[in-house]
Amino acid sequence: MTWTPARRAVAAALLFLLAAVLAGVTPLEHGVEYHVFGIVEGLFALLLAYLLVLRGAWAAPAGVAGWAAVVYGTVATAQVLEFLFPPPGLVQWVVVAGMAITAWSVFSGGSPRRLVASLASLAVILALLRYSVIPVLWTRIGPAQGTALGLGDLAESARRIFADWRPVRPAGELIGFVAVCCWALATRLVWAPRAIDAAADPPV
Amino acid sequence: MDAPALPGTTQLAATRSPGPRDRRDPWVAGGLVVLGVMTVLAILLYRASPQTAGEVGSAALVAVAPDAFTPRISRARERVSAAQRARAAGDTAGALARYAEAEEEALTARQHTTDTTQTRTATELWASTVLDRAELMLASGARPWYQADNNQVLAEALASVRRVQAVPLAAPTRARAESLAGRIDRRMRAGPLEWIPR
Repeated sequence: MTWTPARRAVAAALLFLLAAVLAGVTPLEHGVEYHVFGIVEGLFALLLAYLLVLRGAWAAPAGVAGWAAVVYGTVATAQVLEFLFPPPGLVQWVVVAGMAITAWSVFSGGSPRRLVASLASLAVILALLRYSVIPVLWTRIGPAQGTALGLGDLAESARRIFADWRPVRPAGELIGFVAVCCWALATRLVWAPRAIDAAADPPV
Repeated sequence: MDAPALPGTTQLAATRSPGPRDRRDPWVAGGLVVLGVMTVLAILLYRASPQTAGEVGSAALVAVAPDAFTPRISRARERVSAAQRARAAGDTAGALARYAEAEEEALTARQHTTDTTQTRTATELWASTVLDRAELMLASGARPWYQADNNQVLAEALASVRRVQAVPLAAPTRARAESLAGRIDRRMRAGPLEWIPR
């Protein structure tokens, strides 16, 4: 079977859909939660989709299949950001505001390869913050809720202002990782940066 | 949205426009159909929010026959079981959420009944679920004597019980509602007054 651009676009759209579905599924201690991205993740995904198409990391949409790949890619990006962004609170406001201010200057320059590498670094930092830094600090700052004659409740309120965090099972992180893999594979399928790469990344 | 050429570079090697051959390509057409079907399934999955693999089946039944009484009532019972599991494990927030879902499913089942037996079954299930939730709210909203109770939660629990009392119910359920309303009412009285019977 020959991989024509239209076939690649359809396969990418299917993988993006899988990424979007998986990124929103969060197994908790008792039950499962299904998250859908909010306005913050949605707007950021639109900006990233624009940059990815502009820089040629995603093929410019052409025809129904091409547009499907871009639309599903944008939704998948928003869902992956929902998985990676810190939970609502002061930490999220600072991180997202910082990213929004610097996004254009960081992501708009360089080659598509550098853009994707920057996105990968950003994903690592966000994952570190959400799945390592916040949980560790959460369990160490102040007494637990319902303890210390009411002081624990006060400490809990303060913690919730910084990050409204809820524990996630390791399976949740694994599902999120699979979602990110699907996103990366789909991006590889619609990868079309040959001309720009040649100009921006000359062979050494 | 065509990508513009960037300064100092050649034109992007963009995907060529699909021609008539692409549109007739069975792989592309089939892929788009599969994409549409999977999108609908994904929306239904998120809408039904099954909590276990076993619930996927009942969620699918509800999705296929949203107006049917039996799948709705089964789903409500599943949610009650999930709430009881969460409650036993000490997850109060999770249990309250599951009870609320069970209430909603039981109410929907009640709207799709075909005879009085089904109506009574759905009403009793709804009422017992509301009372279970109100009991849990009473337990979570009440504090030791030296701390203030969470009156907002208690008031919400009392309002739920009052809603149950406004519906015709079997005698045991009505008695349970009355007893629970009395307990919540007494708990909402200020300070030591909660120990004095009315």
